[in-house]
Amino acid sequence: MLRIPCPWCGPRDETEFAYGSQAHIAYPVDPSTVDDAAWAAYLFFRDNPRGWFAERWMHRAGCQRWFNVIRHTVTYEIAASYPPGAAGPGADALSAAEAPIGHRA
Amino acid sequence: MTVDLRGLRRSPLGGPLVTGSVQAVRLHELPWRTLIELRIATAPDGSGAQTGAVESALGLELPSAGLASSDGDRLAVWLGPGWWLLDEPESGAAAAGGMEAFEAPIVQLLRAAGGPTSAVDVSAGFAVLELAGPRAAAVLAHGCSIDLHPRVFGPVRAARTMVAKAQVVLAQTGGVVPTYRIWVRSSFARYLAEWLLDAMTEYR
Repeated sequence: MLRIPCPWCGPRDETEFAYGSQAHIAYPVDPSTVDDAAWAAYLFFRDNPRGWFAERWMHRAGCQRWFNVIRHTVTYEIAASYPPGAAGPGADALSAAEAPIGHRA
Repeated sequence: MTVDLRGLRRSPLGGPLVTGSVQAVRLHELPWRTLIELRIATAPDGSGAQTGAVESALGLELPSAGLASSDGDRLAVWLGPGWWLLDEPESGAAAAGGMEAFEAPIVQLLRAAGGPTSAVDVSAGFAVLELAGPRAAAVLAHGCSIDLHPRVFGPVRAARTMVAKAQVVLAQTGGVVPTYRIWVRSSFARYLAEWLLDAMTEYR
């Protein structure tokens, strides 16, 4: 069971949350001009990293707000959670860092 | 002609009282509370709700994250950014006075707020339980994963969370003995009351 820190309610059990896939995927500025391949990439293609991953969660049983979490997909360590629209630490910046000690991939 | 239908209605637990009546912890229902869910627009990061006008219309402070505020028997509970639950005793005049009298306080609230605000009467959707006694926290802890230690979840703390897999709003309303008020969906009320009574059996 993950303990996920909601930016507003504090740490709560994973069962209170709904998962929302990869974070920071921008809606195309003008969808009508996007070709099929780019549209399919926007709709269906998601990163599947072994390491730090920015993903969205919604606090279903609590404040019912969406927010972003930086989670390590191997160790399940959560490095940060922050409201939508805020600049997080960034999965890219974290991926340069070592995985937590004792859980080296 | 206005017909008073109060004699016909049933509370979610079927009566005024469900009780464990043990020394350590007691459970009872508070029927016919007036519940209003209030939402005030915020920025995407949950900040910037304009609460001043509504607070002065209510005469009650809208609490910040994780807290409840009270004024006598009236209670405001923080549920999320820009989202509160107002819990008030039933107004006899409003109940007997038909829809217009019933809606008047809500209309007054919305007028006061001015901006994008919603106030919805949810009284019929929830049962209100009160769990009180020295062992109340221990009973809740059987099915609730948030830290209920008095140092963390003392008087006026509140949370929207899960108890025994039922989604609830939980507030520590304080008093001489620890007292928790639990708002639960009407359809879960019987289940949660039975679950709490079962959890209470070991604290006699």
